[in-house]
Order: sequence, then structure tokens, then C-alpha cells
Amino acid sequence: MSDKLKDFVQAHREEFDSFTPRPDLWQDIAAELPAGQTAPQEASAPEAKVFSLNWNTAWRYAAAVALLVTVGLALRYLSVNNAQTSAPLATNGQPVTLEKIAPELRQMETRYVQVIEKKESKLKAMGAEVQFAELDSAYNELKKELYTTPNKEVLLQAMGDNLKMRIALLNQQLEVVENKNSDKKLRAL
Amino acid sequence: MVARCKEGDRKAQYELYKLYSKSMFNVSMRITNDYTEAEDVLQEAFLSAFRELNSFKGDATFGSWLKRIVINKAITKVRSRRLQVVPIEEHQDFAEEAPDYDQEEMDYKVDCIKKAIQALPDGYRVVLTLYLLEGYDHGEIAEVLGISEATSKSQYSRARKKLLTLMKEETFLA
Repeated sequence: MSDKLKDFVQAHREEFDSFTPRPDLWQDIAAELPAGQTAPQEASAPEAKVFSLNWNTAWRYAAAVALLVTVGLALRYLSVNNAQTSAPLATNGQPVTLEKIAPELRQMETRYVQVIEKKESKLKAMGAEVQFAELDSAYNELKKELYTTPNKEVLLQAMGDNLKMRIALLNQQLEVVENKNSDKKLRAL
Repeated sequence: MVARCKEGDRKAQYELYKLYSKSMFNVSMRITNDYTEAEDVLQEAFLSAFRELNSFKGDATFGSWLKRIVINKAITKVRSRRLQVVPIEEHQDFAEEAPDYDQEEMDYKVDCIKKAIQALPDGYRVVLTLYLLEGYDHGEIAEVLGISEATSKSQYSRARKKLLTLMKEETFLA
């Protein structure tokens, strides 16, 4: 069975090794190896440093740590208090936020909207535009339903499809404009 | 060099590390899909390689012996995460439903493939990278993962399809 993907990968094998471990990883390894006959100094040097910490400086570190811990605890205490006072407000005053109902929505929106905006501005630079009036209103309807729906997944899927459809439209429009432009150039020649 | 390492020559050990660390790190990175875990694996693998160097008989190259250690450690790491989204044993008799993208002319790009590989679920990613990038055949993959050769084959073909779908998505959003 011929496998084009495999052939391609093999032809570009080198390019797939793009990561490098942090440079000092060897020090960690060397430190744990049983002492060799020709143990170089570089491996033992950083260890010596660790023990050079005397009581004078240790005090300062301890104080710093204690300070951080107190600040951390205080902040946590404050935020817990805040949450307690603001939580009932949210449920009484206005409906529960979408953030709570579908936390994955924001992620999806930012991801697609970024792409959409990029493509829109590209299209604009070429002097064309796409209107999403119908898709917009459909999207807002879906978003409203999100508050009451028992079937969140289906709705989210539909919303994702809505956003994807815009991208597909933009892709299409971009292609059309690009074709037109290259036609013009050809004719001008 | 290996012989000098056996005697505990630190310099020779460092030479070997320099020679293999990058490629081994990428092997481990592809399997674990996590930078810190990949480094842990690399460290553990080199340590145990140097410790057990005596059991290295020289019937394979040192590189492939070391690679086997790295792969084993990386797989253990992934398994201990228990995040196997696609359990390897399952789906033995799954209908082939996804369209075969082979017919279509697909413009392969290294970056695109790399991204898609990282997006694959653990089980798929391991089989696919072992086969495509480490050059293991299905017999060896089956041995390393403790599965049957047929499972390895079907996992690979599914992983491959999934990869192509992911790549399509990638180009769609580009």
C-alpha cells in the first residue's frame, strides 16, 4: 500500500525534530549519575552553591516566604468574602451569565471571530465586503435559547456551524475577488 | 565511546548525550505532547541507559537501543496520565466511514502536519508517530504497546484519517 503521507514525512524527516531540551538538563543528569573516574568540575560546581547558603541569608528568605504566604492568604480571604457577597446578587438581580452555562462558548467564539475578522479586513483591503445580517440574527437567536435549552451541545454545535459558515463564505468571496483581480491584470497586459 | 561509558567515563557520557539528546527529546515530546514531561522522560531515559549500559549487547545500534528506552518511558508516562481519549483496545471493528482523503490532492506541509499531530488524542498520536516518524513497523509497535499487530494497523489507519481531517480544518482556518 503506498502511503503518500509516509513518503512525505520521510522526505522531510529532519524538519520534524524542532524541539530542544533546556540546555542545563545535562547538569541534572550528571548530578544523579554515580561519580565517574573523570568527573568534570562543571557538574559539581552548582551543587556547592546550594550549600553555601548561610543562616544570615536563610533568614531573609524565610521572611520573604512568610510575607508571601500571608499576602496570599489575605488575598484569598478577601476574594472568598467578595464571592460570598456578590454571588446572591447575581442570581437575584439578573439571569445567570452565559459564562456559567457554557464556558466553552467563549473559547469557540474567540477562536473563530479572530479568523473571521482577519479575513474580513483582508477582503476590505481588496475592496469587497460580505454582510452577515441573516447569520447574525440566527446567531443571536441561538444565543438567547442557550439560557433555556436542555440540549446545550446541539445548540453549541449549531453556533459553531454558524461561525464556520461565515469563514467558508469569506473564503469563497476572497477567492472570487482574487480571481477577478488576476483576470484584470491579465487583460491589462 | 559506548565502551568508555561503560567504565563510567563522564566525558564519554556527555558526548553521547550531546549526540542523541535532541532527537530523543523530540521522540519523547511527540509521544507525551508535553514539554516538562518530555524532559523528565529524557532525563530518566539517559540515567537508566547509563546505569544499564552493561545489558546493552551491541546487537542493535546504541541509538535504537536508547530510543527504545525513551519510547518505553514516554509511553508509561502517557499511560499514567490516564487520559487515553481513544482507548487502544477498542474500536476493533469500526466501520470505515470517513472519506478517504488520499484520492484528493492534498498539499502536505510540515508545519501543518506537526500541528495536527499535536492535536491528536494520545492513543492515536503514539501509534502514528511511532510508525511515521520513528520508522517502527506494526510488529514493533504492537510489541512496545502490548497490543496485537492488527490493532496497531487499524489504529494507524484511523489516526491517519483523523490527522488528515485535522489538517483540512487547519487549512480552512488559515
